[in-house]
Amino acid sequence: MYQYDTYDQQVVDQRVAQFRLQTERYLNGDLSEEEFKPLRLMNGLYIQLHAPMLRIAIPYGLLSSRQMRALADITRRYDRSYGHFTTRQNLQINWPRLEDVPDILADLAKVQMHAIQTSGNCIRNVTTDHLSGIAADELEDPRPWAELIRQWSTLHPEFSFLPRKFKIAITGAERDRAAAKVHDIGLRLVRSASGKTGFEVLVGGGLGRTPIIGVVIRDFLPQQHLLSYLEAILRVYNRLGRRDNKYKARIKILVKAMGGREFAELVEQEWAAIRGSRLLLGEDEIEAMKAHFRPPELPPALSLSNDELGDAHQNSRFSAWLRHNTHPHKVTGYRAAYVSLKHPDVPPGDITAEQMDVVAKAADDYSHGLIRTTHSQNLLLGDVAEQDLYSLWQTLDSAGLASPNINTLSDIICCPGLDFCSLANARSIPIAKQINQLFDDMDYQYDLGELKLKMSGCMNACGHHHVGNIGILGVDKKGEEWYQITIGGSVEREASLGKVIGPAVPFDEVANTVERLLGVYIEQRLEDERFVDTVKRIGVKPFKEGVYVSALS
Amino acid sequence: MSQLYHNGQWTNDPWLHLDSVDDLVDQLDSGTDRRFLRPATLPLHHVGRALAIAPLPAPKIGARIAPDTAITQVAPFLPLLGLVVLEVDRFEDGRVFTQARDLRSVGFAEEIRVRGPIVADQIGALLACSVDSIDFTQQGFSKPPSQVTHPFSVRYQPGLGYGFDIRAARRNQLRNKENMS
Ligand code: SF4
Repeated sequence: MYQYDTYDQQVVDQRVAQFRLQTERYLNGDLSEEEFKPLRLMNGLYIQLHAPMLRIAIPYGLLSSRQMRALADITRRYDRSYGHFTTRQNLQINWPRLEDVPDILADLAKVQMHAIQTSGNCIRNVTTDHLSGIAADELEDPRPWAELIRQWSTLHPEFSFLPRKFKIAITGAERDRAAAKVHDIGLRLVRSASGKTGFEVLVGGGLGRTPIIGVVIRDFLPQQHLLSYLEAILRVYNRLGRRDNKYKARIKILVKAMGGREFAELVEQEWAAIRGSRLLLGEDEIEAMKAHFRPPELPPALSLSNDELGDAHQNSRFSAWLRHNTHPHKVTGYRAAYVSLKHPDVPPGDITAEQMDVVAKAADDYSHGLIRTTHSQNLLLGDVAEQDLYSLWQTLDSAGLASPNINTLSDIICCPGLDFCSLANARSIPIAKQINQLFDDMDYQYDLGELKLKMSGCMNACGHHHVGNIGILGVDKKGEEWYQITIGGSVEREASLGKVIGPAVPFDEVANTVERLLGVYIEQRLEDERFVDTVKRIGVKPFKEGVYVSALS
Repeated sequence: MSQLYHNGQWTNDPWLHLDSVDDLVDQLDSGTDRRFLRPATLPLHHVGRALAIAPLPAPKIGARIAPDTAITQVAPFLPLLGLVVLEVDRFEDGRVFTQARDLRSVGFAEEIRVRGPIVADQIGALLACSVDSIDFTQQGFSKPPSQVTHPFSVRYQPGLGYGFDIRAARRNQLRNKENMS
């Protein structure tokens, strides 16, 4: 894991001091509301429905146990003893007092954390694959590159007032678990014919009001040019991105209006002028960064299959957890283990301070003190010996963190919605609850197989509903909460955007509608065919008929 | 009261800011020796004519440009200009940061100024992007302390106008280590 040196520490400490002064100036009237707004947003501070909301950065979703404990302490001291993990791998706390935020940031800085650029019209926290360094389909660990990007983009003086927010994702694997195709910039580590490592560069992807899959503007960017190429893209965007309408200000709109090819030409021109600049990465710098992310030394461990582990412990709940909440590791005898934050009675992604401490201890005991956050609002312990899985499960189970539901229907991805967010049209957490209540039979869920249900409380799409196999979007109809449903969205393999099945349904009807959709799937699926593949094969029509005709009859 | 921040100081503005070539003609006809006339800026579309009627060395001419002006449009005049003013209506309009860097990258070595309702917290970033002076246009602007204008002594981005360059320092460390081994 990356460790700050004195320079990194200086940056975060000075950022805390800057924000403390900005807050003081705002509170004593020296900064107007309008002036303070972008300054606080750049530091992850929103003014929400009930209170400020602070979004804490978890760069590329990697946390140490010490940092997790510090987060637990912060939620105890300044909030209501819980936090909420987001789809962009960050943590939000919903009830801090504005006056306390500088102290919270100071506490974060003590453990090499911050809230820099977790909101605002600037380059946001770079995200990546939660299975980095573990997955067998990986060409190279993307995290050293993500950290290089984090540093380059942190407080970049030229790019702090962009037309709109800007999100970068990077993946090093075959399967795109970082959703790179729906980011402003998506980077995929690739190897050239001559065996050199570089990046495929996509731009202009995004969700929100205008969901678009990104276009490739460069098939192969030699690795040493990563930062100069990113800078070239950002300069073109900062110059030409629309500023007259915030809904048309994302880079995707510029790329779409201009055409991918023309946009790429402008970037190449810009890059030609700066590619030899001091942004060029030295081989020694790259190697020094990679040294921070060397995999932990994993002593040889016994390889144990699910059957062997199941037989040894004779516990059906453990066996289910093993099957659904663990992922193969590229080192024999080890697995990655998910910590499910999708307990049926708890809003998706929420975790209490006590649970954070449990996870920190479990990470120390079983996984080299490291924790990852996932895009699905769960946590992951990356390097667990198979012989330790039962003890780990016991620990997690006793803390309510072992729901055996990863990648199933109840592994719902959901934004805070109207319960917390001032932009929302509709509630999303109670819908998650409604669905959990209707589908409380885990065997039925297992029979459905892999299914990603994603839900957003408004068009901003923080819950990534467009790329849900089933997507639910809260809409406002004359002051009432209605829900528009899409199917067939996906992001991991072939990215596709979900299609609307028909008119929106009222609050009380959402879970029933999902049930009818699943009824069609069960009837139509081929053997071992996933929901999303059935939708691709037969199209939306049968689902539409299943939902609306059966609702009428 | 002057609201001009230049080279780390709050100073009076030596430049006149004229709206038309006629205003410049009035200046030239005022009877003052041209060498002692105040330098003057004009909107970009008047700059060609201004330079024609007031050739160098005096008075110096500057151009005022809007955020959507590409630097290529100013480029032909740059060798003759003493100042380029980047004008913004909203402090959130971040195009000035790129415009300023673009001006330096095409070799403009004279003063670059930003004029508009700039928030004091933006000063550090503007200076880092090669801006020399900032003209604050909002009413009742009070001069902020240096912790506001210069909150950072270090920065990650190489090759910028101010702040200690972290990457350069780390590279040196790496090379020294290599030489030692
Ligand atoms: S999708 Fe809308 S409701 Fe949900 S968190 Fe984002 S802005 Fe708020």
